[in-house]
Amino acid sequence: MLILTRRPGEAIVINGDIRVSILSIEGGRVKLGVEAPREVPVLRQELLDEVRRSNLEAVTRGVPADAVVASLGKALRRR
Amino acid sequence: MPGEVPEEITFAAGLVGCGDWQRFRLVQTEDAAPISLLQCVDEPEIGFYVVDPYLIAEEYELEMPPAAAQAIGLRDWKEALVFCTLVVRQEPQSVTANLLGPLVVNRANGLGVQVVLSGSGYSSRHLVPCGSSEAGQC
Repeated sequence: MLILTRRPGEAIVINGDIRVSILSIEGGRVKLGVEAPREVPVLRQELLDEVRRSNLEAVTRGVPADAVVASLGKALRRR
Repeated sequence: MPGEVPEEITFAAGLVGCGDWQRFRLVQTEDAAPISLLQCVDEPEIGFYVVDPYLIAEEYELEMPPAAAQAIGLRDWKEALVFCTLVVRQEPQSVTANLLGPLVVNRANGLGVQVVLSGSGYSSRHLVPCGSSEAGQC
């Protein structure tokens, strides 16, 4: 891991076209500004973690939940 | 779900945290409909139950990030199939849908991507409305 020290108003540039600047630091919170090309996804880590957790919980491993799925399907068909 | 479904759906990057599973097929049965099983082609015992999120949340809104659209070559929204995964628990009342991380598939080429809807406020554990008077009992 590369560790850099930056002050508010300073920035780093990644790969020539992604710029992360330190906008302000207040009470233990750092406000970042991210300028990146439209095709570069920028996400808060915890959102990604949440989706990963949900996926792992959703995996069915050869355990059929047919009865539950069928009754849920039936309820959704009625809507 | 309207429109044709590709025979095989490829998530080149896998689902988030599940990168090993990339090729899937959609198994639709009469009993489960409108819920389908997204079954892994290489490990058939692996699957995800999925459903059209608009059936779970009528007002569902999905803003496709340009990076995700580009990843699956999606230019025309009419070609998109949208699913959300379900966590199926023993009690139908406690089944949840992941509205935060929907799956978007380009019907034209069978490529799919999981999108994380940053800033949408959607939950990854949205309780599936079921058993209410309008939905009927599960």
